[in-house]
Amino acid sequence: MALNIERASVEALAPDAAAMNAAQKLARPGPWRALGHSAAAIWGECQGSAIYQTRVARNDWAAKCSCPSRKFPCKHALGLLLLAAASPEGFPEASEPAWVGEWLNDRSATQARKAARAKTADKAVDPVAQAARAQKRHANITAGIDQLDAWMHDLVRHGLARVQSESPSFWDAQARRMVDAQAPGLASRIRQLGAMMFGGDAWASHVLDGLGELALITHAYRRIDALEPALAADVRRLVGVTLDQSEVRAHGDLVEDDWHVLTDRVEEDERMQTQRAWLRGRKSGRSALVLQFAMPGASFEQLLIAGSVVPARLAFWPSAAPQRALVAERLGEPVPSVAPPAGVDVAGALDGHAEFVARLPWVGRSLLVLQDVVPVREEPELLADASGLALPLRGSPHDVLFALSGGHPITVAGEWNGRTLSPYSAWADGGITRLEVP
Amino acid sequence: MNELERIAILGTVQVGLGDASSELTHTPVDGLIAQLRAGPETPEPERLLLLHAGAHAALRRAAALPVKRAAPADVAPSDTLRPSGLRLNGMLAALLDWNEHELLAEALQRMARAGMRLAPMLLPSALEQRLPARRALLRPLLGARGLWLAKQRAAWAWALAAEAADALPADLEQRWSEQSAADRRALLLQLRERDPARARELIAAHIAGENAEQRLAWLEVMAHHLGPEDEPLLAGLRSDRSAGVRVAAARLQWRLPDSALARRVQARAAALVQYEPGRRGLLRTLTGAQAVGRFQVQLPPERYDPDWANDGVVEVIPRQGIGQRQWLLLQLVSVMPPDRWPDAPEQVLAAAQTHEHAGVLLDGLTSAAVRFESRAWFAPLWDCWRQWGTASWLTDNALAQLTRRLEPDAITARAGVMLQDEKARAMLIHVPSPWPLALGREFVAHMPRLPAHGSLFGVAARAIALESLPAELPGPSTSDDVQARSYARALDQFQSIVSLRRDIAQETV
Repeated sequence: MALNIERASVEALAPDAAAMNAAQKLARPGPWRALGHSAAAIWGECQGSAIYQTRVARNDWAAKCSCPSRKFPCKHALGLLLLAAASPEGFPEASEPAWVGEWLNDRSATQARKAARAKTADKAVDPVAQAARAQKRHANITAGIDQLDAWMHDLVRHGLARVQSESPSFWDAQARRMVDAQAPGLASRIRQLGAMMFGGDAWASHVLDGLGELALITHAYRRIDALEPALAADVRRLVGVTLDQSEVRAHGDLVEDDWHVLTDRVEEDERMQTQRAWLRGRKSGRSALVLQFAMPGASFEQLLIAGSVVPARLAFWPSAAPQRALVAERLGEPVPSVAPPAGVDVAGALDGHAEFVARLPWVGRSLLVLQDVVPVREEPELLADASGLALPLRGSPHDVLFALSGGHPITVAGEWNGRTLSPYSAWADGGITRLEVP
Repeated sequence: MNELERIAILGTVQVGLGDASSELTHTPVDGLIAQLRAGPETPEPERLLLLHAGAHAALRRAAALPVKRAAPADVAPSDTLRPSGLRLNGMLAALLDWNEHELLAEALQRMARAGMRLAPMLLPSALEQRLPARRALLRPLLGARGLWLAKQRAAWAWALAAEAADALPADLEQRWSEQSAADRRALLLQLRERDPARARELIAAHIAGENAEQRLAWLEVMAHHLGPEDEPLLAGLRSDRSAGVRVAAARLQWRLPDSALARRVQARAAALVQYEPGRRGLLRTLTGAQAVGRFQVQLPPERYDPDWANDGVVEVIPRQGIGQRQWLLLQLVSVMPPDRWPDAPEQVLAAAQTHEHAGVLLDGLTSAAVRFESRAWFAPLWDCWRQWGTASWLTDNALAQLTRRLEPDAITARAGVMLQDEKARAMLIHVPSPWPLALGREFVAHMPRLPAHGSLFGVAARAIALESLPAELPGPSTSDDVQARSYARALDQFQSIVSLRRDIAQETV
């Protein structure tokens, strides 16, 4: 099976710029020997201060190297992949050496053990105990939302102007009560309300919106048994009763398709990296948001690069407006695709979002793919379609977007939050470009 | 602020929701809440307010109105230049951020030669560059898209300037009087390259007001594009109040073969130094052996004639190891254009090498070859000095001067020799960049095995990697002979630079 590795895919794997810079120096034949590839792996031995054996699995690009680096993937794995991208002819097809085959076998065995453990865990669950726990939690949450409603009523009874002078501990205390009530989703929303107090002149509008959304959640939770199952699942999730990934794999809506990765944005803070990758099924037309989390410096479990098509089976979280999904199983190697996805004009995009909100009123952001739009220099900057309608962009300046367009219509994919569009990918001149939102 | 917000801020204790209060938002949500109020279980006013707010927030999120705005009519013209590809874009994005000015400059120059332009995604970063040198390199690569984009920000207007960074300023005379000595010299040099006559006029008009150091510096500028038209100015400067200026002016006149001074000095030299071409007798004809010429040399008088100073022949000996008469002889040999010796360079040099004053003759012939830019003499002289038994400053200085002037073919022919020993390797830093491919290959092949104490590591290796080696060369393979950590790192850096330059070269074909 011929090697067809895109440099951009390797760059996306790098834990940081320093690793990529170091890998660049190894992306040449000089330090390498015993290079080869098979259907399952790519490998080579790198001469550094010692000889390091480096191998990469082709199905998910997991890598293992005998070097002492604590970065994953290490510079040797990245350098090996860069070299394979630039000079695939230097990697003859061959039988895997023992040190590669043993690693692949170990991986397969580990994955089989994990799957078996998941099944065993399911079987090991005592349904009676589980139901009792669920009942107790429901009671705690119900008590919690009773208290929350009373607290919110008190706020608007006496007026939000009074809480303007409250310290953050005022909101933290209420959030902790929700945590105690086993409703972390509500706790998170309350903390966000506290931050809105510093939101400038529009603080009251934002806080009232937030309180109103909380009231809708508590109102819905009290009637959860009367809701349709999908909406009930959403309400539970909003409160903080989440399904773990094994449950989603086992019981979620499974959709097999060739998934076009439209965006692959990564957000970072000192504790965590979060990737929000929007995918769209080429056959089903379904959109999916894959959220991945990793420690700083580590790579994500799934390699999702904007501009690639990944044959996979996705499992969707149950929802009245299914968005979030995970990759249940990869069905092939990712293939680069520079063709732009089909999009809609501004009116069509807003209609789609409206339909989304109608199904799930609390939806924060949804995917927009706008076709044939042109950026407009105003304050705020806009994306205008051929019909004379435009949407405002979040942040400024979007100089790369203007450069890519040159005043000509292009395709842009991003997230719409009901007020502004955050553009994450653009297709122009036969290629795709990832965008940074300033 | 709508009524809902007003009530929430003030509080329902102060401002009741009122009867029905159906038009708090003037949206369909008002009707929904009215239904809720009319239901069997009327919620508390606070609850109604909050549900009203929540539903209104959802409605606003769902029902955002687009802005009415037509797409702008200003469209970038089509580009004719080829855009940089994905791989090169990655390298350029990094180089634009790094301080690797040399690598960036090489990449941009290669792109310009290849008729390429920057890919659109790189244009904002390029337009944000502040250094004039970078801007000058980037301007030709902006393409129609870049120039279109540059009009959108005042800070990018530099890209639209009609005047290139290296163009002569229109107000040159005005600037002349305001600039520093170094800047004026630079301006003169720039002007001399483009308009030698104008530069000469400027020098003539202002040189008298400069100090001796500046006058000498301006004479160095005159050396570029020297011609018979410069003779009157040079002749005038031979009366300069500075001895150094007088000598420099005279020596420039030596380079004008039809000048009275040149003829006089050459006649003086010819009286003391004669060359008799070799005769090719029957034996030599039959054997194919070269005829050997002979130098006849008469040392100048012991006593220095002060009039000679006016002709540029100085008395003071600049270095040790040479006597007064030999020093004068050397200068006189150096005034003779080498092309006037009636034999091929190899034969003249063979004759010089066997003379009792061989060192002086070779030194003088080298100075003459450099002075008169006698290209046919550079390689033979280089070979001569290379074989010269005496290791000295004189040898090294001559070799350095000659190495800088060797033609690429001559360097290629000597590529193996240049790596043979420390003396030859020391000359590598004088080889003009870029090196011919043959020399580059020899160097790359030898480098991992060079001695650790050699001068080619550290700064020299980096400079060679950045500027001298042909970019198309593959990087050197790692050798097990590279043991010492001190230069393993230098080698690693060398290899990285070579590899990156090769990648850039591949992407800018």
